[in-house]
Amino acid sequence: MAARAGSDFILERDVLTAAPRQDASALLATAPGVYVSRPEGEAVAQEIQLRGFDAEHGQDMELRLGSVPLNQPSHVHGQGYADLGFIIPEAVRAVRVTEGVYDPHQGDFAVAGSATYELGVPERGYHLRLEGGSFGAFRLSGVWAPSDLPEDTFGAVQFRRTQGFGRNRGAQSASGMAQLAVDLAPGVRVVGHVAAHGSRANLAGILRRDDVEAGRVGFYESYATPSANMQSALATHLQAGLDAERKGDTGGRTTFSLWAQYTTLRLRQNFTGFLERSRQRPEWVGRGDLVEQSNRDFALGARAAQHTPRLHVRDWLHGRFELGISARTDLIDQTVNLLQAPQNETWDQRVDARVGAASVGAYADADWQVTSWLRLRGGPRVDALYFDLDDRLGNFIPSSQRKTHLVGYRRTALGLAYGPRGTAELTPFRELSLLASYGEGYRSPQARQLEEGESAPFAKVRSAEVAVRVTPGGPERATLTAAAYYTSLSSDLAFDPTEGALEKVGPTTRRGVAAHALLRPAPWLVTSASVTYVHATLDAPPPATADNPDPPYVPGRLLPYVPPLVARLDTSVHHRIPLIRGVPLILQAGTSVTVLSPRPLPHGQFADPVMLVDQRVAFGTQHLQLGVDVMNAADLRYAQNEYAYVSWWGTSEVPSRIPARHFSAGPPRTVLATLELHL
Amino acid sequence: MNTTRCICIFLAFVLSCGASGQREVEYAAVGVGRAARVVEARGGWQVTLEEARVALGPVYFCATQAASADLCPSARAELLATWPWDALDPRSQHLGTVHGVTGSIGSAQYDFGIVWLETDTQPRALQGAVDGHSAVFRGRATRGDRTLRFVANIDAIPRAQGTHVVQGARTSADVLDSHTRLEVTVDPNLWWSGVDFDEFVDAPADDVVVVPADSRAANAVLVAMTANATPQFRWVAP
Repeated sequence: MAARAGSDFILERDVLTAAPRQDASALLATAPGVYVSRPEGEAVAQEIQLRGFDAEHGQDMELRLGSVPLNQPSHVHGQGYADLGFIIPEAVRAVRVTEGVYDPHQGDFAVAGSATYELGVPERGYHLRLEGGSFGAFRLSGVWAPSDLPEDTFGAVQFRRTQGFGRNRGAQSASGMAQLAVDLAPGVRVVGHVAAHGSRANLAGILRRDDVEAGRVGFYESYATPSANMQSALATHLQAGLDAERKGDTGGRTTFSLWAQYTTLRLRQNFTGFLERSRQRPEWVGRGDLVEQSNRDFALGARAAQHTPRLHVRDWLHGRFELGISARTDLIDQTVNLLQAPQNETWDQRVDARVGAASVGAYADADWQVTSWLRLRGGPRVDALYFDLDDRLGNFIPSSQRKTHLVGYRRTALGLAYGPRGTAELTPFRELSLLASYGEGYRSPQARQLEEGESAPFAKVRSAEVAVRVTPGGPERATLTAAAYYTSLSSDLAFDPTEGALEKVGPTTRRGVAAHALLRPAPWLVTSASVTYVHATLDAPPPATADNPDPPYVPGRLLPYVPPLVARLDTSVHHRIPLIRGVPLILQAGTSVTVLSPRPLPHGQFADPVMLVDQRVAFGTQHLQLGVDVMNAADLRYAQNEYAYVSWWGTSEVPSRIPARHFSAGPPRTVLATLELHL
Repeated sequence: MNTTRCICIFLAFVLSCGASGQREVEYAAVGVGRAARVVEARGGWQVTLEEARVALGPVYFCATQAASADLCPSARAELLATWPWDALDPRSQHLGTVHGVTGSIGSAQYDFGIVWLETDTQPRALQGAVDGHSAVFRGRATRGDRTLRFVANIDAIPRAQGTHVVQGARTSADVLDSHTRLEVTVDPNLWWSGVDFDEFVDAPADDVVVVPADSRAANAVLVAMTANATPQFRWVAP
């Protein structure tokens, strides 16, 4: 798999398993400039920050499992919502992270970049892993990968349970995955996979920092009201995919993929306490802002591509073309209601909509060698998106007005997005590459924000990067990459806790530099280290609203919530020591260190810096290993996320309406004993 | 742990640069009353106040100019402290500290010491209310040789749960930093100019008339406090 830019990283299994990982989403953290957290518990998608983008649950990062796109368009909890929790880490062979938009294969939501999980189990056999420890945590995973079958054939299952590290944080989940690869005929290969997942978690929610500092609520606690203690999430995921590939006799290749996916999320969160008023019945107020969001998405999709044989025009000019299409359709039902705890009585309806969305994309991709030292890759991509929205609460009639129509607003819209992507790679020496990349990507809009007949306004991203890559001793031993990049986004989104959804904040720009080193100086030692610095700014005032007709703006205003500096180190020693009778003792020790600089917050504030250390030690034989995983070894009290908004939890005589700092607590030190059986 | 702390402090110094838009501000609020004077009231009565204690707050200053609670989910500034102040004293009296963020202010929402919060089943007086009321007055009304001495306890009660007595009083300011002071001016004398004391003319000559809360007089004072002669907010140099 050729790199598409200087910041195109393939994270192999030895790096991914260097340090303990709580779930598959944490595998992404090894990539330069990436920070992953789960501030909303185990049943809500991870939040990703990448190179100055707060990608939230996936709005700015295209996520795939093989050929299956995981981002969900028009999701009620956030555009591009994608939960990686269903992926079993033991079944992940590699993760490819492309930072920037330089590849015509990258589709919707590839704004900051994209990540693709490749499934496979290189270590064949039958594997069982048990974990247990702090806060009642228990995890059981099993993988069967018969040694006489190829490494992309396997079955895997996992169960997780925890009481959580504080009040109202218990969670349970179960996942199953299976994949079968069959060579139907010479050159014809079919791979089918299925995955199923269910997860339920209680949520402690967000706390006001002033309440914690005054001792009114504990750092790891939640507010002692039914409306806070009824926060929870339930997520399910079912998907099936089929990939077929036929290699032609002359070197050409045809690929075809078909997939189906059904996902649900029912999320109950109270960010603001007791501020909401019913729109249906305005006299109903103060019953607790327990917002229930529900989203059901059934999606079908396909991809197909034709790769030409390598064409030799001259000795110094040869290459190939690829033409591809992708298509998907989504049928989405979503609601937002206000619930009164503990009976979960509905006291307001905010959203009741059915979205029909479809997209068709096409691209051309060239990969040409022009002389022995210049390689050109890239091509154009165009996408069309269709929306058919049945907004059942549209044209809402306030109770104070005379009814002149029936409530409801059905509308349709279509939009086109197109742009080039490409990379020029100069290789003056075998171990030195200079890469220059440019690309234009897009993010589709949330359907409920569209008007009838509107040309769907895509958020357009323009990304450029120059990089140098050095591979002294070959890429297997060492790869050093340094890159400088620039990204502008025409319309950025930020999470608005008062709405529990994403809101437009205006155009933004990122300028940054990144450095990454992947070292394998010895067969038993692997180290991945990276540092990314970004200057992320808002380029114009946020859109004016009725309640804020003149949003204050300072040129060069930093984007809130995005850490300017992210550093990451993963290092692992995996050694076999011969013992008596030739039975080797396996020793493994690994450490990961994540450093986040102070994150800018609204109103001139900065969040505290974060430095997290995770450690793993294991020893045993080839068949039995015992170990200890320690997460947050320094037991740092830190905020996974911080926000600034208005809330009121009854902890003062009268409510403050000045945006206050809120946070979700990160997990304290967590120790897990591990037992692994390999047969 | 020391190493971790040192690294964190270093990062905080090195990387905490750059503007992040609005800034938090904090400045003092003072109340300025008007000295007692004779005002012409309805029905030819002349009213002179001897005491006027008022509780103002909480006060929320909003970006919008519209008079709507729905359009001020987040305030630009607020004065949450409430306590009685002498509205007949023209000197500056400390009302508390305004907390907020920089930016323009277009309106104010406020109560007079009695709130009906979203979570309250009924209105309640704040600790800073005047003996449990929004305002307490004492004075005399004179017409010819007839003089009525009166006292009145006025309760300005929000009309509905989760609302304020004054939902959107137009005010204008552009607060750039903390180098300012909020000056709240009221003229309690004017609040009595709409009262017709004929309502109490049959009271015994030596009695002090206690103005009932449901009387036309109390209502007239209430209307003046909340609509016709509302407090004025000015941002002045400290």
